[in-house]
Amino acid sequence: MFGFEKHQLIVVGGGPAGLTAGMYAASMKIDTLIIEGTSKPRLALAEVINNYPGFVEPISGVQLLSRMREQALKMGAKIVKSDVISTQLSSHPKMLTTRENKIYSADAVVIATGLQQQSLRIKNEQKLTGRGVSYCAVCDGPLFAGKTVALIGSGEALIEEAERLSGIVGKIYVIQVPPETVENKRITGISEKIELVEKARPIEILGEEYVTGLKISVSGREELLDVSAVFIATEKIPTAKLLENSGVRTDPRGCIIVDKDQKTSVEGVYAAGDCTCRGLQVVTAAGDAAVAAINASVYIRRKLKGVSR
Amino acid sequence: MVVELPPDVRRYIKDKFSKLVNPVTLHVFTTKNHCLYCNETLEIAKIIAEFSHLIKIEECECTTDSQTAKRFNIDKHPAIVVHGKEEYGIRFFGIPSGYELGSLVEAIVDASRGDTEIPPDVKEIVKSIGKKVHIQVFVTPTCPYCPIAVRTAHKFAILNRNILGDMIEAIEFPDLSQKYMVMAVPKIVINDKVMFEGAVPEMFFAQKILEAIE
Ligand SMILES: Cc1cc2nc3c(=O)[nH]c(=O)nc-3n(C[C@H](O)[C@H](O)[C@H](O)COP(=O)(O)OP(=O)(O)OC[C@H]3O[C@@H](n4cnc5c(N)ncnc54)[C@H](O)[C@@H]3O)c2cc1C
Repeated sequence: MFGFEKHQLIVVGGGPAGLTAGMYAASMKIDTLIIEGTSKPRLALAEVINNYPGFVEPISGVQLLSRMREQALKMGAKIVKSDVISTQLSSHPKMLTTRENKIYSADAVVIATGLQQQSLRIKNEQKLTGRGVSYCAVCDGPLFAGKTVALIGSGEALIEEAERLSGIVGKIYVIQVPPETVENKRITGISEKIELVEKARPIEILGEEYVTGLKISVSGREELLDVSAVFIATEKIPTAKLLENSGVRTDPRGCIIVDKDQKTSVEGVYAAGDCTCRGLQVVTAAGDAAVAAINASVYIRRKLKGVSR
Repeated sequence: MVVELPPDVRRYIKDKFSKLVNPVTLHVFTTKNHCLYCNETLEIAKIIAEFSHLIKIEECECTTDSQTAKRFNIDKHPAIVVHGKEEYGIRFFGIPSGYELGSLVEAIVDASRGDTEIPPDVKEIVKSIGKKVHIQVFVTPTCPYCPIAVRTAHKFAILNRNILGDMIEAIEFPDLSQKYMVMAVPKIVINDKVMFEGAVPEMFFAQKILEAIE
């Protein structure tokens, strides 16, 4: 566990909530790092925003986003592009690991990861997690050395995990799920161990105690793949997965529960924007993020002085 | 395999070892028979020891039924046991390489100080445990979350001498991995009774120990 990068505040997410939180904290002279994910913020999908105060003429989501980004940088926030894949938030300092296996530590954290796509919701996916269903090829791949496995996913995450696994396991069936953004030959070009199953949809992961196979549908016909593990690599890490076991409470929909100060159930951890399922608008995301950043900054200052809350 | 440390890792270790107080002994157990990473494990221990005059190595090239191995309860090779201010149950089975090198360095610092950083409420629970506890943490060297679980087990071992905290490199001990159905890491096994996966908060971990000894 070395090569730590330390900051006073880490903001996870580069949408309006994350950028606003970063801007506010940095303007309060807090050493702030924004880890913006590799997936597009929802704001980037909005063609026009015509209800953000001050913008009488409609502005495109992409434009508004780039202005917010510029402002955050101007105030002194640092920004890196990567996905946080795991967190340890209840101890001090708080630790976050990104997909490149880089570990960041901070005194306080603001979570602003937006609305998240859930797990793939394949039948038995949850039941067999840790029993052959894995979301971490670097971690669990070596346990399936030489075996046949399936890899289901999309985007760059799929490519990365395929590369990692091909050095370890015997054979990999790769299934690309929507959005199918990766060209087939990029996948098959990685290794001869890869068999790309085209036009396939996962239906059910088979196994009682551990994974014994994967049922898929190929152009409407059911097929069985004989695999010992199913690795899942989608672009987005659901917030609920990210916060699993960290003590941060979420409601049954996976929305982070916050109080009026944007505090979560874990000391020093704040959340704002769509990930709290409140407002679901740019202006509310920005407003809540400002509150989160101000409170996080006060918390950090107090911690520095050795005063507990 | 030749063990070489990159400059930033060397700097990290130097920085960590500036906090050493009491002498630390690394008891390294190797054997000539079918031991995959015995040489490398010894080499890592030696490289680490070069960073501070306070770290000493006691090597035992011995079988598991030798007297010394028995005294330390060593049932597999390679192994490193970290003793510092006291004789703690901090153990590493298999090579502490990759991310686990950090776990070894930090365990050395804690053992030397005879204390560890942990929330007070967790500390209280762990210190009050009056029964023998054996924690096994299965890892792979490439797993970035695993050191969090290993550190927790070792922190607990510092706080309470009833606790044995073992890091086990899953690939080097396939029989054990099979026995405990290790299909995801970190996998934690407490007293052969309670098992869970993941780098969980310290309080959650402590509660699992209570569950295992009740
Ligand atoms: C088509 C469309 C039109 C809309 N129109 C309007 C409108 O007219 N007016 C209005 O007010 N709102 C509108 N919205 C809603 C608005 O876009 C959202 O409410 C707003 O973007 C929420 O901001 P956020 O920062 O919480 O999340 P997002 O903008 O979704 O940003 C989330 C950020 O978190 C990052 N992230 C996620 N997971 C991780 C991780 N594990 N590690 C690191 N980073 C991570 C993502 O990469 C992203 O940068 C619209 C939305 C859509 C989709």
